[in-house]
Amino acid sequence: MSHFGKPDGLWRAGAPPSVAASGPLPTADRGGTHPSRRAFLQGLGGALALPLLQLPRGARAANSPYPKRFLVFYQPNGTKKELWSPSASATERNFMPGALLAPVLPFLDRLNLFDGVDNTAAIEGYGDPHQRGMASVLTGQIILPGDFVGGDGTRSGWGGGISIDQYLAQQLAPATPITTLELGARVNEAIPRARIIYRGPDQPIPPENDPVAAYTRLFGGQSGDPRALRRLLARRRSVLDSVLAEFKALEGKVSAEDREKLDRHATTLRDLERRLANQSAPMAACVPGSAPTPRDVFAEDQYGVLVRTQIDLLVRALACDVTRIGSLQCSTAVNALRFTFLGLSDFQGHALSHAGDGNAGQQAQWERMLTWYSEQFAYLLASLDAVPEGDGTLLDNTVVLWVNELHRGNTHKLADVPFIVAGGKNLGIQGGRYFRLNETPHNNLLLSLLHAFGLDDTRFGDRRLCTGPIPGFV
Amino acid sequence: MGLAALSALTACEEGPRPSASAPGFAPPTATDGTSNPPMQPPRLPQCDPDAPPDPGPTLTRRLSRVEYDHTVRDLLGADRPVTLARDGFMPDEVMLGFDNNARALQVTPVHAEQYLTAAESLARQVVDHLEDHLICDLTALGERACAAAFIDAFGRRAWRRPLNAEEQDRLLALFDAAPDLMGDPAAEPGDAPLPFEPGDPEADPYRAGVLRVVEALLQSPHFLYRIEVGAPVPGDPTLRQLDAYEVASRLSYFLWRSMPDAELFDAASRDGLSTADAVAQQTRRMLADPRAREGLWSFFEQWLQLDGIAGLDRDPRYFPGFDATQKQLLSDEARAFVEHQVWGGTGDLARLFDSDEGFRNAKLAAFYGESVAGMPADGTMAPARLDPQRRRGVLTLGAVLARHSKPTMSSPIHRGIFVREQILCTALPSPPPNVPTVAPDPDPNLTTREKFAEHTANEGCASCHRLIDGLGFAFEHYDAVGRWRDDELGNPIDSSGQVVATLDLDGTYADGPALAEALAGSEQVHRCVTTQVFRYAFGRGEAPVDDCTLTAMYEAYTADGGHDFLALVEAVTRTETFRFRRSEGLPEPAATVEAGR
Repeated sequence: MSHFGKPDGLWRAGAPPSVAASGPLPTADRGGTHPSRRAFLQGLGGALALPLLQLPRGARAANSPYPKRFLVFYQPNGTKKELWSPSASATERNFMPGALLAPVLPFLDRLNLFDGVDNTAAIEGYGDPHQRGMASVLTGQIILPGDFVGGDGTRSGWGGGISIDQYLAQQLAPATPITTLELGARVNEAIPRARIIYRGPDQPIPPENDPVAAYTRLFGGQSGDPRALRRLLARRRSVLDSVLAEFKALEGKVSAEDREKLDRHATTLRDLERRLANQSAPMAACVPGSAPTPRDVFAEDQYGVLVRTQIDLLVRALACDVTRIGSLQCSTAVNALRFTFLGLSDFQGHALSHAGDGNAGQQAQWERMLTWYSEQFAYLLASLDAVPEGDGTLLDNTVVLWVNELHRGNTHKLADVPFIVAGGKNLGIQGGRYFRLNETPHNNLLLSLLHAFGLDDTRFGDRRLCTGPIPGFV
Repeated sequence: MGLAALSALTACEEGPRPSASAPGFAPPTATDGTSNPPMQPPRLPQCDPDAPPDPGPTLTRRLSRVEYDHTVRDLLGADRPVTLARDGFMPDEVMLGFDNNARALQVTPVHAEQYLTAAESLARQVVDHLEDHLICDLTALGERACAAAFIDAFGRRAWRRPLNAEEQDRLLALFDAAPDLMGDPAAEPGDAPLPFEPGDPEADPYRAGVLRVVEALLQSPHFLYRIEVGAPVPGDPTLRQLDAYEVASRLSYFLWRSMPDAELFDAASRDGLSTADAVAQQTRRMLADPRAREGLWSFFEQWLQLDGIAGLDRDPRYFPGFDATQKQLLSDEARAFVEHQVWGGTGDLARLFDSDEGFRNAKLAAFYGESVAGMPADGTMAPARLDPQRRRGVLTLGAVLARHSKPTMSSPIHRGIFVREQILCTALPSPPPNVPTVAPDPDPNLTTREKFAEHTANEGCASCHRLIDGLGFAFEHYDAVGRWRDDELGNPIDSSGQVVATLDLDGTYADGPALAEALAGSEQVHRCVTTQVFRYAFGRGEAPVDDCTLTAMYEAYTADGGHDFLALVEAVTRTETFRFRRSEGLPEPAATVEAGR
């Protein structure tokens, strides 16, 4: 059921995973390898086992554990919780997710579903609900006031704090060439409803939409004569040293707010210097594969291919240990994106998300879009699970957080927002579990994820809105 | 969960509890003191002539992508537009509708890499044409003296001010280090030298040194930002007067979105920009330069949101053939029309809103379904008199109408919000939490207007939509690509709309042309033009402290009874806000201010 032709197959020649081929939906009994998951992986074909991805198995000393990774997958405009949540009779370990999640059922034993988790920090505040939801979904902080005009004309600023991925990077300080990788697909605006990643209050990080540029950043500069590469990096460090001296000389001359801004810039340069130093070390026998095909990154009909291509890049970057922390932002809140590649050309996603509940025709199209996102998430999990690491796979060493800024598009509700955590078996996350909670701030969920990475924080985000980790999760 | 529940949640946590006055919990209306509560006419600036002068908050501004490209064009003397940043840098964050907001523009790790790559590529171009930038007799003077001369001359243009001795020394040291960076840093003694590709300037220590200097200059904060420190003002410790180079950059980036030219540098070096008259004289000179047309287009393109048309997707089942060529035609028409009203025309910007002059060629006229007789068959746009019952002013341009439509249908909501926000400068209230938002009724036998009837029937929706829909309905005679339609699938069109909560526009209008005529004469509209120019010129939102500046701008704009846009621009550069900054937050003035200059 490939809706957009063959993916480019950056490093895999096979067809995309066939969701239809996974057969009748399984019953969600408990953890353990699911028969249909095997079918799913078989559907991927043997092409997944490329030499590159087998390398880490032997590339590391036996006593060296595989690195822990963190990924965020963002989907816009809410969902339909009644087609997402397990039924009322479900228990923590015996549940069946709703029909919208059918594509990820093969990975049920690697999933944790959460009901009753609120995007609490977004419920009140400046700007429209999409802006507020985006600003807080990964930060747990209330949006700042400011001059950005929302879809309804109201104003907001940027997010009010650091996002969980950046916080993890700051705390874990992974010695990888790229500290964090922010990828996007058709994130074509530069305003609060198009940003989820923050280095701190008022410091959004835009995602890279172009797979070619991302590829160059991840894997460029690694070919050719290593001596010439070292020479180039030495020259760059020499220039950056001089530039940093200019920043230093300015410190005592500008206002406090400007100093902060310039400091942040200088920090990125120091980070760049450090990465240049890391790059000169040989990369753990990683074969980057070929570059993606250039394409129009803002064309509607390319969206499906772009999401897959970015997933491929993200997984490859993790597999090669170019980075350990990344995110894929699929479009923006309030996008004007039609899924023409699925034949859905009447309405764009945001409009469909607003369809009245009684509007069967539009609701059916909206559900198709929501299911498509589940398919992409399944593809991400399948790709991670296809990379062997020790006795397990890359998915066992990666915590994948699936987020949405809203509960539902046609109410703009910010309570009971869909959250799923997948993978991370080697980080103490079991999977195959359903948490039915009530009015739990999502800060608590983010805090639990920090604990999975061995941090001992007691709060995350707005401290007033975090009451402690989710009991029994990590 | 409402505020009460939120407070309950926080009760067990230490730290201050959210209160009605805490950030994030205030009603989402005024954030800078200028937004108006819903359903109220706008607040007009009140200038208190006795208030102490206050130029408002002053923030260091990073070059936007457009500014980077224009600056590179002028710095390198390129004879064609540069699109390095446009094509290769992350998009600039857009705040208050403009991409040059000081607070919005930051540098992320990806930016830093892009600056590095761009600087390396530009340094190559400089060195490949070094004689364009420096005439220096290497044999007579030696490489080091020529490098110092280059740093002095090129550095002054790159940083838009003379370099001080410390800065020159630092760059010269970088030049001096080049010969040590020509081999493999990990090489062992006795290893063969690392060769260069034939013709690589890196092989020549002099050129390699200049490469490093240019790379450093172009990644420096003094190139990437406009840093304004100013000098103390005798008798007023709250103020700093910007120095002549800082004013020169303010002028050039406001009017040209680029670096100062030789004449402006010359005026700065003579300290000839310290009075309002001296600045205004430069403004008039610069407005006569073709770069002003290009530079100020950036204002109109963003204010009127004419920049998004290329990315519009229209459903081919309803709008067959609406392709890149058609979009380009609408784009060309919009630019020709707006620039005619600004730079030609009557000199009264009111005509931007109600003129029935248009620009057409045969293809565009055919697209609109008008007679093509006498229209240019090639791509050029010729002036044309339009049917004033159908087309009047910028809001009836195809580019504007299409931009604020949906793929399959017109959108009175988007058109209404556009007029409210961009033309009337009104901020709209947020929808109440958890109010169901209602999609249009899909019945194909209804008109667009009828599909949106729920917005006014439902009280929860009506509170906001009263502000929006009446403005948008006026344009219902234009379809989603901006073409006139007499009816909608055989149903008659009701293009009347009620306008409320304005200074001087409240009432009912029969259609787009009627509304356009009213907008042209509206004080609220022209106050809004003033406000938008302020935001663009100063890279920040207006605040009550700017009331005197806004008043002075508005008075100059309307001085002759009309609406003279170029007088408005000149007035910006005459204000004290343009030549001064707050001293607040700056370190105490010391010898440091003088040392650099």
